[in-house]
Amino acid sequence: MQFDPVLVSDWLTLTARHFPDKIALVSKGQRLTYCQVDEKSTNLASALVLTGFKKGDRAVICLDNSPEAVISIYGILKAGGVFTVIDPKSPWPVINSIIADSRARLLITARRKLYEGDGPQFSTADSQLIIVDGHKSSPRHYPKALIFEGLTEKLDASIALPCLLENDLACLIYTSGSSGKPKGIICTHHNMVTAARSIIQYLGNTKDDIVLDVLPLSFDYGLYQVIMCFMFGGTVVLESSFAYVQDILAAIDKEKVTGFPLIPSVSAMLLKLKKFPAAKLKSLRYITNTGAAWPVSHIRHFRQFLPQVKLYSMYGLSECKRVSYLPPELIDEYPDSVGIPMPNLEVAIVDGRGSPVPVGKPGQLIVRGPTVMQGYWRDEKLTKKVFRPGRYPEERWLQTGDVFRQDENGLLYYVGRRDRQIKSFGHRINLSEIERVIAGFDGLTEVAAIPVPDEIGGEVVGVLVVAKKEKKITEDQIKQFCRQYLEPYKVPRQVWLVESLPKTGHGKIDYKKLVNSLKTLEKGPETGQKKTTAIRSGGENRRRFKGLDDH
Amino acid sequence: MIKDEIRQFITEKFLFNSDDPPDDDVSLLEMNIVDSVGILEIVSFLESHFQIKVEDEELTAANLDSINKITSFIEKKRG
Repeated sequence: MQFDPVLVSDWLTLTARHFPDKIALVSKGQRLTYCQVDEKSTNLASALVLTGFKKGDRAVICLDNSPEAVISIYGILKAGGVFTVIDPKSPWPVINSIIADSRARLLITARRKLYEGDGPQFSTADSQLIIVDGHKSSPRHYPKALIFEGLTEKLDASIALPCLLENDLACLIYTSGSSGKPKGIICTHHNMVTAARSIIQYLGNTKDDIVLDVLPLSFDYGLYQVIMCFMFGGTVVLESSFAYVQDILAAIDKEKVTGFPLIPSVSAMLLKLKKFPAAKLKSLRYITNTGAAWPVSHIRHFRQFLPQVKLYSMYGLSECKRVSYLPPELIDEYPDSVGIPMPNLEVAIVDGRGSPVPVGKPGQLIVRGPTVMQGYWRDEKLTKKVFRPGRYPEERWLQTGDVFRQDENGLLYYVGRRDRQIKSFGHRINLSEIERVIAGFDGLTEVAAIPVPDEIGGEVVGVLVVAKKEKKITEDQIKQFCRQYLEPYKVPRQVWLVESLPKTGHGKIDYKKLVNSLKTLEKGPETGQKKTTAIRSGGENRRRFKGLDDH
Repeated sequence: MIKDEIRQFITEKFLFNSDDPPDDDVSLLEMNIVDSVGILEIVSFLESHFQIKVEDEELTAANLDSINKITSFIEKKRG
């Protein structure tokens, strides 16, 4: 009798045994079979073990969506490691804070990235750098670095890989926190395999599915496309961006893609085209959306243009991977719902004291199940705060911080956030983090970050700053500063220099008033411009916002 | 010159007037100069500034992913 594998990496090996010559991955002009991905990742794992890499060691992969990134993920897992993928678009201070927080022993990155800014800083003396790029030698500044390509070749000796359990750690997913310390979500193999299995189950994936993944592997939504595909034996077409829409549409058409996971900014870009490219999307079986609420207008358009395609509107957070999905047959009737809990997950909506709220009433969504994370890496305080005890010692409920309501049919509706998080381009951003970074800019006395509506991103970051009297500061200087210390999607699209910020009775910044002032600005009859133009045109906004404190 | 105008727009809009403009042949996307929204902003700049119409089919890396590529694209469009 044979049971299903319990490790993420064992699923790849099993699928490679079933379909050795099937294409697993199409990326950067390469087509890799399951056998090739499995072998290359085993070779990398063996090479890592030879360098002294041990079970439980953390490894940071700072690569864009590429065959090397996928091989690194599986190689690290097979070597018993715990991986974190970071988008190489992040500046070094962000990457280095994650290397330090995770105490990573290994960094895999591209040669080009090393020439940018300050470069990597390691936290432990025995750290190892691996460089991806196809050259044979390591750059002058990094004489001890190893070259990735050589490590995926077959070794002469056979190396014993560590024995792993399903409750061993597999990855840390870093997300935006409020304190300034990076928040690493701890996932075991069991967390990941059970989450992937539930999602595969409700999407009805089979080995015939070909999934287009344009979402970064640093984002769990992007990462799980690969994890899932390698479990059901499909093919992943991995692209690094959606920016050049026609190139992506050509890939869908050419590869006969059946599954297209997207975020609202991707659907917004498709709907912005002069003519909706239905002909190029004819191979699709399903489209999924998560990351941020799918606007009903997008759903209606997709239903009209692609009536044969199943649309899954979903909701989740990295702390438990996914919470819910709307069965596609309900989407016309309940387009604003994110549906029902996925298999193997329970939800409740509770009030401030933890008691369930009546049907239809809003409350905090809490969830329990095997996909819920183990906690935040090296942060007991935050971990304790996010969990609520259950009925027996091991039972814990994850408090999502999201406000939901549930209707009489059990369908879930997102209402809002309890704290200062926004969703931009599918990313959760904590506005306090942005303020903390900008506070480091010399010459400011106050800073407030607020959400600004955006046609493509949903919401983007806007910042109001008060400069010291004697300082001459420009909006561009603040944006340039942010670009050095923040991931691109967190860089404020708009900066307003103002005289002062409105305060509440307790002397704190009155965010409600700020956001309302912004709304007045957008609807201002004298502007006569579309929303996004008004928000993005710097000088004009600056003048209007000066009047803020008069309100 | 077309190339200078494009370089100036990109430096102003995406690098916030940094005094280190991008090389003319680097990939704007890979070098993290623009994102997908940035590409749309470039397109609307090209349409209004050079009075051309960019078709859906022309939204490709081959046309838009470096200052040089954009320059030849504009030159081609203008005939």
